[in-house]
Amino acid sequence: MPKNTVWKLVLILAVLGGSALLIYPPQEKINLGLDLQGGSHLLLQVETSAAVKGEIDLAINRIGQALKEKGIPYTSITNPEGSQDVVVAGVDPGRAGDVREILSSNVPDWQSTTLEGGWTIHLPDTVARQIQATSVDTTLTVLRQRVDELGVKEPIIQKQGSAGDRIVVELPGLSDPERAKNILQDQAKLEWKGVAYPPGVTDYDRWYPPATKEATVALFGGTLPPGVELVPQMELQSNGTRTEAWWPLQTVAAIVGNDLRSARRSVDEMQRSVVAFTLSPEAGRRFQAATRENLHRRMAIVLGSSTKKEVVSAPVIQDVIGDRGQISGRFDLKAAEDLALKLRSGAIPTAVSIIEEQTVGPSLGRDSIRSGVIASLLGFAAITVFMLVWYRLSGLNAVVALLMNVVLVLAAMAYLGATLTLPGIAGLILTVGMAVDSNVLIFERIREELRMGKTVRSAIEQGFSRAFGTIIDTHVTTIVSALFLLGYGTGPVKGFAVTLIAGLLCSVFTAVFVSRFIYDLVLGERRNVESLSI
Amino acid sequence: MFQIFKDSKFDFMRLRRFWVGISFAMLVISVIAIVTKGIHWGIEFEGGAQVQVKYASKPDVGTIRQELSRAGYSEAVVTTIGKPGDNEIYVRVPLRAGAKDNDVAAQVVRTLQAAAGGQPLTVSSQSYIGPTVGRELIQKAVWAVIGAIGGMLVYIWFRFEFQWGLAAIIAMIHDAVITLGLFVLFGYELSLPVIAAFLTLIGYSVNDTVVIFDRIRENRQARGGVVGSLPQLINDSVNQTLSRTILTSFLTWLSCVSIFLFGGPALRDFSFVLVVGIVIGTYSTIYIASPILVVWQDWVAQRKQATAAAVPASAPKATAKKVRAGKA
Repeated sequence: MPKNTVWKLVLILAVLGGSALLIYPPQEKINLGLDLQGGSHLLLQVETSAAVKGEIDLAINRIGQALKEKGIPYTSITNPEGSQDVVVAGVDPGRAGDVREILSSNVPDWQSTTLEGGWTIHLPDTVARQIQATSVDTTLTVLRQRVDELGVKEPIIQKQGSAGDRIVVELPGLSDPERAKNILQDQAKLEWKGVAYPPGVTDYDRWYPPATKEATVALFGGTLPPGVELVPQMELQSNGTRTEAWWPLQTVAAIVGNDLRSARRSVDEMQRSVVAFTLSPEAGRRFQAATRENLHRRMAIVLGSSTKKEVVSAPVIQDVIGDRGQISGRFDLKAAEDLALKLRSGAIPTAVSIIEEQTVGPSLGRDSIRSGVIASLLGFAAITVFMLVWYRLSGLNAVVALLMNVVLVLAAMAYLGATLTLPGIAGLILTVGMAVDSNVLIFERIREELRMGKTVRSAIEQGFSRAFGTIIDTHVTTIVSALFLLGYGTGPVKGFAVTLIAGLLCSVFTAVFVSRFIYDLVLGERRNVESLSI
Repeated sequence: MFQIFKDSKFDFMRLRRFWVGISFAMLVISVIAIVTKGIHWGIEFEGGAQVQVKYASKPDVGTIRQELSRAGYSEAVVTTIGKPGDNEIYVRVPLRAGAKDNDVAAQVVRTLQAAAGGQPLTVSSQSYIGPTVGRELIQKAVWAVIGAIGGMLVYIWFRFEFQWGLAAIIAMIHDAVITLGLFVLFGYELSLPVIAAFLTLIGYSVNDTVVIFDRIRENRQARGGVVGSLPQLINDSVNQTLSRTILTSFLTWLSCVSIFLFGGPALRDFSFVLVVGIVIGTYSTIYIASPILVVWQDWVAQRKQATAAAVPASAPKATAKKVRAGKA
């Protein structure tokens, strides 16, 4: 064997060996797309504009809590509708210095102005834009943590879209997509708020609010006092009807979700599922003060998003609570578990909505794999039979090259971490159909050269070298369109494009280099080769 | 040795006007079909929800429709899919104007569960696509197609000549439009993978054409730049590559047919495009792409003559321009 041939053989075997290493064992090395292994693909839209509202709410709480801690009385802290302002009203002008200090330490980025005991602080647009921009990243972090806790193996969570305000979440092998959707979409903004009892109410622990917004407002004489907001509580009665109660609550919350250090599912003394939480030391002090102040009164636990809030329960405070407490509502075990999970991972800073969902059950995935594999094998078999009949031993050469092509494509996909999808399987067999094109081009060329009376050796020589330019041209045009497909597609379509491109690139190597080598190997060093099986 | 054509000497160029006419007629029919019957867009583009559910025994589609309509989904489309024994149905619900809720798929599943009356059912797949996503996808698809066409045009221009690129692109558009026409006539749904199939098809269509172009160029060089008659040159080249064209198309077609027949329902629309498109593409490679070059040259020559005759000396500038265009 000439040295040249030896080197080529070594190269080909090395490539094959490397590929085998990359692919084996296939169950672990080849990523299956969601359409094959089952799972959920979710596209979430982060409402960045609502993030500013969230920040304003947070500012109201911080300022209110700080004023209370310093013992500075105030009448209200409000956010005039549609503005980026927070108005603090009714502060003693003599304590302006303290107020300024509170503002600069709690909301340093805001611009504050004061007028006769009233303070208006304004969130500058530049800061608002920054908040919007970071809200997506914060959401991403929270979602990662929640998905982690769901126990999904190898999830994908990443930003998408030109505006960068969308998040793709892929959850392979998920059994309960509804639960996942609920957990991912829930902003989980938690607040504990004191009930703002209407004037004249004295039986604080027994009072319960009316069923409509208007009725509650009427209790206050037609207008809500500043610093009070209405939040509904929805309850599903056992007979299936829905009842509502509209709670008047203090705008400033005693504690918010961010103050939580941990949360877990637990049971109370009546064996009902609750969520037990512990607070950070600083929030614990605040909570202690707030519960002391609201002793034998009700405090509402409010959950929701920037756009919609709901009272989960409004227990009567029986004792001063320090840094640990529990949230009871009408939870079943799973709901309590999920709420604890959401609270642990922290609140999503803004509203998110699912704008696209694709869920494939595991059985459909299995069916798809089966039919895809059957179609591929039959397609390959048909091509093999045809090539053997048509080109005989040269056809065998082509089939060996094609097989190697399939191995290389799979190896390339394993190496790149690309995903095999159902269209990808179609792409794989289509690649075989296209890769054989190179062989046919070469073989037809060799036949032509033979007909022109050339010797076998020079016919092979000419066939390969002349067909090569054409092979490059045809491959480039197909790859160009596949590249645009790659840029366009998501999920399954992307998988198809990757397979196609990998297949076309590998086929240049297999059809030209490997096939040529096989001829050299078989024909050996014989001087006069009389005939070629083609 | 098996051979389809041994030293074929078909005269493809003689009837070029006839074939171009046939193609033109097919194009017109396709466009009419597309316009009148309308493209049946997949859920990815139109938005809405779809649910695929498998029952333990044969489901009653009538009752399911009734229940869905009672639940407020009167526009739901319910179809059985798969083999009769699969007991599988597919429900598609369009987006409701103004509705933003993505809970539709889950609600449909709940309705189906209620309608099944205790019969166990498994959800094979469910999806929901919001309104904005679909619009963006269509835009992106259009850009991908334009980009792919532009990219191939530039490559052929770079490797051959601009006119040739144009001829290849015209043949490719011809393939894509006629395939789309048939696709619409057969009532298939244009989903995301189908777009992928079309992009593959346009790549493949040009690929096929390029092989002949390569041969034309090679023959022209072999004849030492003495072109002689262009129709003759092209005809020889088409004949020389004829077996290759038919063979490779046939082999690729085989793999597509296999996907079409055995790849399951999910890949049927997708492979239909390729099964039909490859046949059309092979036809256009032989009968359309290369003749366009000849028709073009004829046309340019005629124009040249006409201009020369009509405008003897009064407008030399215009004539010069035309001549240059003719040579390009």
